[in-house]
Amino acid sequence: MSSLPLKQTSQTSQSQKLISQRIDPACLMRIKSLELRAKSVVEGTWKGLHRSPYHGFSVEFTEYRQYTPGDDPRHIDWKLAARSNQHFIKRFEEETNLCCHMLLDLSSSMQFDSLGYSKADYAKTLVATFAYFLSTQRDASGLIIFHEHVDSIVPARFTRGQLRRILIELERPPQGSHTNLVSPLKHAVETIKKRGLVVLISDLMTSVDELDTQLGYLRAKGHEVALFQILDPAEVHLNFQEAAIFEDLETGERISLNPKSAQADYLQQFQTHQESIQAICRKQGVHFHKLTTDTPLEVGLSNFLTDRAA
Amino acid sequence: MSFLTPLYLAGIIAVGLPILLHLVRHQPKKVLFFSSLRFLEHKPPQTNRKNKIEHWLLLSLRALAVILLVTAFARPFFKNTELVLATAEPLKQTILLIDTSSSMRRDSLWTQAIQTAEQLVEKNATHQISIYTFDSRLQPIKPLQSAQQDFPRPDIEHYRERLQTLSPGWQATDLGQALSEMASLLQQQAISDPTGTSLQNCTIELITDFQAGSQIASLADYSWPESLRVRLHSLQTPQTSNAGLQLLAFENSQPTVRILNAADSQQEQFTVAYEWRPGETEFVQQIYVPRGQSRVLRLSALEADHPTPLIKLSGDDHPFDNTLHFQPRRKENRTIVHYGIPADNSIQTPDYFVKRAFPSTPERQIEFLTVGHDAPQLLAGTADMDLMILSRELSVNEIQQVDEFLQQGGVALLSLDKNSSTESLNSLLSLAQDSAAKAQIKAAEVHGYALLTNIDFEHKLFQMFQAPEFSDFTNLKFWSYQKLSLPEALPHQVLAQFDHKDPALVSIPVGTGQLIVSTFGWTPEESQFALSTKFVPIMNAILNLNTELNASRTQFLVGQKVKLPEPVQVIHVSTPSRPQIQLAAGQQDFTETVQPGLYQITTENPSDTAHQFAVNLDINESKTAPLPVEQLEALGVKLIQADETTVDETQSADLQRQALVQELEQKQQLWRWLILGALALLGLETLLAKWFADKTSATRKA
Repeated sequence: MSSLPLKQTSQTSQSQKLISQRIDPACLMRIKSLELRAKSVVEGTWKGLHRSPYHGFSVEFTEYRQYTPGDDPRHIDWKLAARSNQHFIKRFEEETNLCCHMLLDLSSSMQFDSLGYSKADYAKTLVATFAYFLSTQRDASGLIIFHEHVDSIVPARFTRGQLRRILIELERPPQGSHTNLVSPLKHAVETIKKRGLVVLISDLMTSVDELDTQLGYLRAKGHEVALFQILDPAEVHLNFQEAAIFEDLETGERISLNPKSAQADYLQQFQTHQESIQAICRKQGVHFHKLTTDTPLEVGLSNFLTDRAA
Repeated sequence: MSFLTPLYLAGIIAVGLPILLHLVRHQPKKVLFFSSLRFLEHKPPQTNRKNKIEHWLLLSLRALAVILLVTAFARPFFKNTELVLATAEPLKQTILLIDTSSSMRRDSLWTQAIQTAEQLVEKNATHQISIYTFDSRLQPIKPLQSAQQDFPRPDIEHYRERLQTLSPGWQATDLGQALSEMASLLQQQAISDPTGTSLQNCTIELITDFQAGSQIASLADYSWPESLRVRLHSLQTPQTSNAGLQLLAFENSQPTVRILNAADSQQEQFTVAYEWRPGETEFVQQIYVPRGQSRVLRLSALEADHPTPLIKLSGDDHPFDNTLHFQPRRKENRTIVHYGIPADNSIQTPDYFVKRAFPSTPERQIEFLTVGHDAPQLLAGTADMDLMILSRELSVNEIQQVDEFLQQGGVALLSLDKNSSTESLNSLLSLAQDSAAKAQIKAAEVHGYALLTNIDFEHKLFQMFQAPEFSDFTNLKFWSYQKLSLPEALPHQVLAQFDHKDPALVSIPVGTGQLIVSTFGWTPEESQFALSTKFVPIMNAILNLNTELNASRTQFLVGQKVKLPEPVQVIHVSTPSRPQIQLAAGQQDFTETVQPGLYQITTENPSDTAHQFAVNLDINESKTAPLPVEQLEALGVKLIQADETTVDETQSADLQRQALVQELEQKQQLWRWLILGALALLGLETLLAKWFADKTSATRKA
């Protein structure tokens, strides 16, 4: 059980405070360490929320058990051993009450950038922020990185090194090309047994035909699902000035284009796509957040907190 | 219009390039990576640059100026008739030189040769074609002709018919001589007919099996023309085993033969046997001959009264050189008459030595007659005599007899002895020359001894001493000799001199014969000659002086001349292919030894026995391994490969054409006008541009 006062705070006041404390993402991205970025976001947000986040305790003793060979000797209660000359293992109640699984899309389309940092950088920072925050909350966090298939998995748990493991996975250079949303969602459906929060972070620049079904499965298993769509402002507005050859980052396909003449059609189709995603989310009861990469990360964290509390 | 340096015309691209680039720039250069093209449709950007060309006239003027400049650099000129004539295709000449030696009888070589020749005739139908064959000599089939003579050119069928009439003979190959003769003929043609084909345009197409026995060494003495090319068509047969036979000797009824195996033979085991009738072989002997080597084999003795068999070789692939014809030599009777003082076993007389210098051998029976002062007249006619030796003063009758002998082509040796022979010599010479001038003979003063110098080793008397180990005459000392001075009008040849420059041996032609005069005697009190090792060989050489093409010889090679024994009579010769050839009276030589076999000479005189001789192939024809082509090149012959075209055939014509073109262009000098035109255009363009500029600024101000 978490004893943080955050859960008792109203959503509106949180958002207002977060916005007032926000950091420019462009500045944030200049920080090389992913952990430092996450810490900056979380602690900046935290400062506005709570005075002392390090209060209370998170472990609760339940019972002793006789030590048997194979048990971790770290858990032996040495004081009791000194007293009784017998070895007992201390058992604790599970520390967390939230298990968060983050599904991060690192396909080639996420490498697009028009602001000096890519959508992938932004998404990684967002995941790091969530993980950092969850670690401070003693909540379990896990990570699944995917592109056309699941690339790497960090199972959700709360241990000391969990944040480190997640950050290491995030630091690895992406290797995939295409986006395939079905495969990670299917994986999540099949492997995540305990109910929790599933956070899908992707640009969703792909077909969303199967998204409905897969989200439905997740929801049916009782998971809370949040969908963070990361977009570059250029993708939202297509505000390029010069004619150029446009090359698809995922397929390598090339077309020569005058963006000005193509803008109207693009925006229309893009809008249709967005609407279909939102419709799916609405239908499945999924929290949908669209974040452009110029949006301060605190907004994302704030949205996450909202979804977590829900 | 033509151009001297047409490559400069590539500069015209300079006009088109900017326009072309301008038109090509539809595609934007910038490549933008975008996350997904799923919401984008292909809308190529439209270019409206064509509208930017505002002054078409200016553009055209500038382009025209550039074109004129480029054309000027390309040096244009107009062709005229002189150039057209000069650049006409030069007449090319192809000479087919076909090997017809006996080695071409192998397998399908001759068919290949004719096929190759026919292909060459077809391929070079536009050339002037000549056909020659060669074996030991060069034979024209269709000789060289001058360019004017050859019109109209015969058609291919004509050449084909000529080629079909050819067949390989039995003669040896002398490729060196054939090539040098052919090259000389072409050189003569080039010199005598400067308007005709030059040597550069001549190609000798050599069609041969190019066997190792082709005898190309004589090319080393010939300077091959630099521009004459030979294209070698070397014919090969898949069956390479070949061995040949050569008769070395026939002594004591035993023929000795040499078996030669070609260097590329597969076989090394052969059999040699006598063959009396076709298919009936006897005395079969096996012999192992390593490839590229030869072995000598003595065959079984033949019975004296037995007919002469053939010697057959078997075990190789090609039978053309496997038969050896031979004819045992008939024993010759030689008669030598010595007009001298008969010796009574006294070593102080010339007769003692000279009698012993001519021993009888299995090949010859010597009858030696010594005729003294008081001896009865000789009964034998001079026609039966082979040599006369004169070592004493002769009577008038004897002089006449000697003269008659000399006139008939005999050889007489006169030894000048203590002035006693002076009269004899003068009589002989005066009879022959009818001149008053007389030879002077007197005893020479010799201090100690005299030696022979200035020996003519090329003469038949001394040829056998040519080798350095035999040419030492310093041990031969002369204690006395006669100083002979012959009248200048008398033709004579000094064969050897004494060290005082006095002649020692002189050859004087008398009639058809020769008189050999020795100014020394050979008895031990006069010289060491009779006691030296030189005496017997020189005496026998004198005996054989006139029998070089000895009628008694029985072994000849194909193509060799045979000296007939009795030139005065009508003679019939039967050859292996023709039963009888009648020779004209007075003919001395028989030259139609065209194929191997036994030949028989019969005269009309029934009392004369028929004379037989055998004709065989040259052993060199059996060396059938192909020669390396490099050997021919090493001798200076300019070879080109069978499929190679001569690059420099047209090189000289090209150079000539180039020179003419340059001259023509310099005469016309069109480039100056083009430069002037370009400058004029540029001036016009400048004026126009200024006018346009003024007009535009005026419009803007307005």
